[in-house]
Formats: sequence, structure tokens, C-alpha cells
Amino acid sequence: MPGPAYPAVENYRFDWSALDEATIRAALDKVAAAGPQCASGLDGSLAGRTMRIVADGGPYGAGPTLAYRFESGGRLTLSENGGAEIGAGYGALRLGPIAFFAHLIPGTLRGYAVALDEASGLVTVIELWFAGYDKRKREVMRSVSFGYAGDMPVSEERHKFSNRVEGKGFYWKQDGGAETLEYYPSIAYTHWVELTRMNKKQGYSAPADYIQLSETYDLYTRTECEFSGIFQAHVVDLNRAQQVGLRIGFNAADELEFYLFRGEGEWLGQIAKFEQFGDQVAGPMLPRPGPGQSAAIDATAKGARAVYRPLETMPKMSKAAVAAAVKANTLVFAKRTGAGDGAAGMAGNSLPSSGGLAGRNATIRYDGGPVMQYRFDGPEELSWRRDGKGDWTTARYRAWESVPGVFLFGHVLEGMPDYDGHIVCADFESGKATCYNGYLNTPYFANEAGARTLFGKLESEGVPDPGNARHTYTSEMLGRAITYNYSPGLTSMHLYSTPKTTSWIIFTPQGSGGLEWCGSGAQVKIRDGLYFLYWIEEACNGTLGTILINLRTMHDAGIGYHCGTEGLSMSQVGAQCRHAGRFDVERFFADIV
Amino acid sequence: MTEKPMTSRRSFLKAGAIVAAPLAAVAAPAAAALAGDRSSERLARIEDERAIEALNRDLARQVSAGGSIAGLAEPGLVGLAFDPGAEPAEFTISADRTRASVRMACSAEFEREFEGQATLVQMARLQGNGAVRVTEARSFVGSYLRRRDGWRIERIELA
Repeated sequence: MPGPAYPAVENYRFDWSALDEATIRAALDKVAAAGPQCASGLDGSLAGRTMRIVADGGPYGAGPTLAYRFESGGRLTLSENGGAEIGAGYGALRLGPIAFFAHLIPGTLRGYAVALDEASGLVTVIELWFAGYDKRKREVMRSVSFGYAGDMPVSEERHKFSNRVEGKGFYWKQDGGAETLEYYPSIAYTHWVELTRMNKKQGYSAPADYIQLSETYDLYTRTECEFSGIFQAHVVDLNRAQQVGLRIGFNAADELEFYLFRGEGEWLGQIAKFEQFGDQVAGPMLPRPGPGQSAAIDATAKGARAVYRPLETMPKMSKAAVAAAVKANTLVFAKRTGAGDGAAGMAGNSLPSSGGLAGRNATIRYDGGPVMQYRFDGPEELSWRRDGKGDWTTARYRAWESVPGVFLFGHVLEGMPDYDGHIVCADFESGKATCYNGYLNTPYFANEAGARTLFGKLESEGVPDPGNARHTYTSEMLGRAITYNYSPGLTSMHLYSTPKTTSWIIFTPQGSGGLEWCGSGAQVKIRDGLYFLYWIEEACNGTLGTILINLRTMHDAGIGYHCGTEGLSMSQVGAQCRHAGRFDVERFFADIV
Repeated sequence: MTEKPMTSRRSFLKAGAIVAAPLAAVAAPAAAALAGDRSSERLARIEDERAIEALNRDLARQVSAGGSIAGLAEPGLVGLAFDPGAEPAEFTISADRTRASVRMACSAEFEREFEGQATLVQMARLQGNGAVRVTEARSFVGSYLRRRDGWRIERIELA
């Protein structure tokens, strides 16, 4: 439903309107004649020029031939592929030798954004249109083609998709005031944080294009698929951290945003890339039949791109369905095979579990939370009691000792109305304990996990009293990118883009960053080099993932808590890790760490 | 039936080197001179070994070309290779030359589909990498029968 231009809730929680073609067309018609505006003024230097652009190649084959005549007053005439001339309003900006202009085609749902390198005569043409994705007509489609300006090509060189921007990050401030952090950890996806338009706690991921224009300039696009569907493209000067670009699409108020912008940026850093040396493998990533992308999708169609659409594929369960599924099947650290186990392959490189807690008793007093009493009856069975009341309940558990004296263990609390699971990091040397308390029956989808972070003190024989000292939220993981190899061929990278966001990037077989998504999370310091993290695969899979990562050994132990139609599971996760690098972003989050 | 452990591959290769040239001239004086030290028996054994090795090479080629091997229950097997320099751990041929068995190191390549519905797995499948190829060091164990038209594989397994 329409509301403020930028939602107060997370993008994946907002109920985006299903705009129809007529509504979209009406909005476009209002601005097509005037063209896009720019808060800091447009560049008029194209006025009076005529230009023939031949887009003779690209990932989708040859693009259009465009004959332009740029007039004064922000007007142009265009002949597409030798067709009749049409008039439209346009806007242009310059960045060094790059002339970047955009316009709509009146009476249609289409338009163009063009980047012309006046030094080389090479051109990238982005054709844009609405209503190309039938399920979400507001989502802007794009097709990229490459070519030259003039009657004849000046050389065989063309702009090209490139992986050279992969791993970079920038802070941007546009002339209209919008500030973002943009991470480019993939050749086909991007992750960004809205610093001013939305709550900066949460970052988002979306498909992207990365095109190299010259040694200095690149062109980037982002389509906010699954959310507003807004398209943004900008030319970037990597050295000067400057940008000029276009933003077009419907915001949360269903208002059309259609403007050019200039921006100034700050370099945030470069993380590692994992392709073979010399490998310049690049996008676009094309769709394949699979979840969210049916076999009807034609990977060769104009503008085809791989889009991860988790909202479409996630099983969405009611409270009653969750109750039935949990009753039918609750599996805690059981080895399971086949569809629906949610953890196969994710524990291949796990730490061996530890029997070090067996025979011990402990009490954990969580601040503002429960008092949990434990009797660890064996290496895989414990008894628990909450708040000193009632009978002891036996439960299956597993524990891992990531660092001597520091255990990660987890169990499900049978009988709790929201099917709670406690995933606990207990430091028997410091007397501190932190619990990620997973639970179901959350407001959006009952099978989607929620998590509370509980800090507390651990009482057990020989364990010192920490007094008021507790584990704490930390900024030491913020901006880091860490790869997790769970088993052969199954590797992802986590990017801790905000203090409350974990983004994950899936590597292609060639080692490039591929599809990406993200969810909310938390980052807690246990000891120097030892961090306890969680993320929730919100509006995606609903899993609560937790890991205790040891940055000294670069090995983690983890526990997944998941409910689906197959039931509730608590399962082991573990990976060999690599530190891919760290973006310099702490200064943007000093107020919320 | 008695079985004889064969010479090691290295000694076999030595013998092969010795007899390689005389093969074409077994009636020559040099070959006759060898007859006194059971060279004909050794030559037959070498011929058997070579025939079985050829069977194994063909089998490896067939596996690596995507062919299915009847009786070899190794799901996902897509490649099989023998180290040409490695010695068989065991190579026996019965005294009557009707049966043989081989145990030797090999590398087996398997294509394993990712299991489960974890988000990472779903996303990996969506971008085309729904399986991984892993190479494992295995022991190739084969038994062979000699028929009128030559040696045939009776049974093989990867231990």
C-alpha cells in the first residue's frame, strides 16, 4: 500500500503496490515530454548536436540504432532503427569524457539511458522498460548493448561487462541529498545501505550490472527487484569517487522518481576476489530454471537476468501449520537426508562436536530474561529447567568448543508456545554467556524465525563471577567479508554491511561472487578474535543461522534453527573460513553499534 | 586353482623392456637363449598383464566419456584415472591363466548434487552450480576371466 516515499519498515516487509500498466503509463506520460531533472542542474552541451548510435553487440545480441538530434531546452528527436522521428525531453550530465543522458519515449513504457565516451566514441546503450516482468510490472527491465557513435566504428573495441569493480565499496552522497553505502561483492549483484532515506540498520541486495567504459570509468546499474523495482545507473570515476547517474521507478508512495544526479563519494575499500588470477569473468548472470524462475524464462530473451526471488519461493505457513509441522517432526541435530532437511552439506567442514560439557551443571542468568538451569547428562543429552520452576526437561543437544573453555551449544525448549530454541555461547573461563533465543510464530510468516539476544552470567563449579561484565555487541565484525566453505563446492561469503545486517554472496564455480541476499542479524564479541553472530533469512527461508567464528583459526561452529513444511530442525553448521577483507564503514554506524 | 602374486610393475616393466624387441623374433637365437629361464611363461604373463591393463584403460576412458559401467555401483562417478607410473598393489593371475585380479590406486571423480533446501544450496542451484565434482583417491579392484577370445572384466569395484 502506498505510504511514505521510503518505507519505515524494511523493504522486504513493505507491501509494494501491484501497479498496472495504465497507472505506470499515466505517470510516465506526465514526465516524458520534460525529461529527467537534476538537483544540481543539467548539462546542456549536447544541444545542437546530431548523433547516430549503433549498438552492434552485447550480451543479448545487437541493440538498436539510434539517430538523435539534441535541441535546446532539453528536447531531442529520436529515430529508432530508422523509424519515424519522435520528440522527447531529455537530461544529460557529464563526467570527464563521458556524456550520460536519459529520456523516455512518450506514449510508451520505454526509455533509454546512454553513456557515450566522447574520447573513444564508444557507447553503452541501456534500454529500459516497465511491465516486462508480469508478476511485478513496476519492476524496471533493462537490456544492455554496446556500440559506437558515428557513421562508422572507430575500432573493434567496445565497452564490456567486467569483474574489476567486484570487491569494491563506496559511500555516495547525491546532489539531491540521498546518501548510500554501496558494496559491489559480486559480478551480478550489489548490496546497498540507505543512510538517509531509510533506517540504516538494514542493507538490501539487488541484481546489478558492471560495465567497464575505460580505464577510469565504469557504469553500474541496480534494479531493486523484489522491492520497489526502481532502477538506478551511474557512471563512476573510480579514482575521483564521483558519479553521474539516473534513477527511475516508483517509490513506496507509488510516485515516479525520474531524475539525474551527481554524486561525490568516499572509497570504502577493496576486498579479495576469488577468481583465478587473470580471470576477468563478468556478468550478466543469466536466469536458469529453478526456484522463482520457471522453465518458461528464456535466458536468451532481451534483458534476461538472474534474479533471486526469495519472497516468491519461501513457504509461508500459518501458526496452525507450524504447530502441526513441529508436532509431526522436530529434529534436533539428527542426520537427515533428502529434500527439506535444510542443512545437508552445511556441516561438512564443521568442528567435531565436544563432549566437554558432559557431567557438568550450570545456571545461566540472563539479564531481563530467563534463568536457565542445566544438567549436562551426557555429550548429547541435557536436562533444563527454566526460572527454577517445574520439572526438569530432557533435550538433545550438541556442543562445540571453539576455544578452550568456550562452548557453543544448542537445544530446543520443548513445550514452549513459540517452539523456542536456545543457542548459547558459554565462556566457562570468564563466566559470561550469550544466547540467541530463536522462536517461531513471528508476525509476518509463522515459520519465519525470530531471535532475541540474551546476555547473561554463567554459574558453574570453578567458573568465576563476572560481576556486571557481559559479552557485548561489537563493531569489530562490521564491514568484514568472510568466506565460508561448508563442504566441497558449497561456499558463500558473508558481508557484515551494517551492525544489524548480514549479506551472503554465493560463489560461482569460477569463484566470482554471484547471487546475493541478506537479512537482519547481530554481532557479539566473545573474546578477542572470537565472535558470535546470527542472521535471519527473513522473507527468504526463515532460517535463524548462528555461528561462533574464531578469526585465529578461521574455523567456525554454528547452529541453524529452521521451520518449514517438513518440521522444525536444529542442525549443525560449520565451515572453513577465509578473511576476504574489510570495508571502512565504522564511522557511518557509530550511533547504532 | 592357485594364484601367483605377480611381479611388481617395476620389475614387470623391466621384463617388458627386455622382451619388447625379441617379441617380433621369438625364434631368434636371443629368444631361444631365454627359453632356459622360463621366458615363455614370463612372456605369457606379460601379455596377460598388458591385456588386462588395456581393459582397465578402456574402462577408464568409458567412464570419463560419460558411459555407464554395468555392475559398477558408484553413483555420480564421472571420471576414473590410473597413475601410469604407479605399481599395482596386487596383480594375480591364476596358474592356468583363466582368472586374474588387480588392486591398484586410482583417482575417481564424482559429481555430487547438493542436497537439501538450505538457502545457500537453493541459490547455488539457481546460478547453475547445483553439483560439485570431487576427486577421491580410491583402490580399483578388478577381477577378470579369460575366455576364448581374450580377457574380460568379471567384476570391478572402487574400494
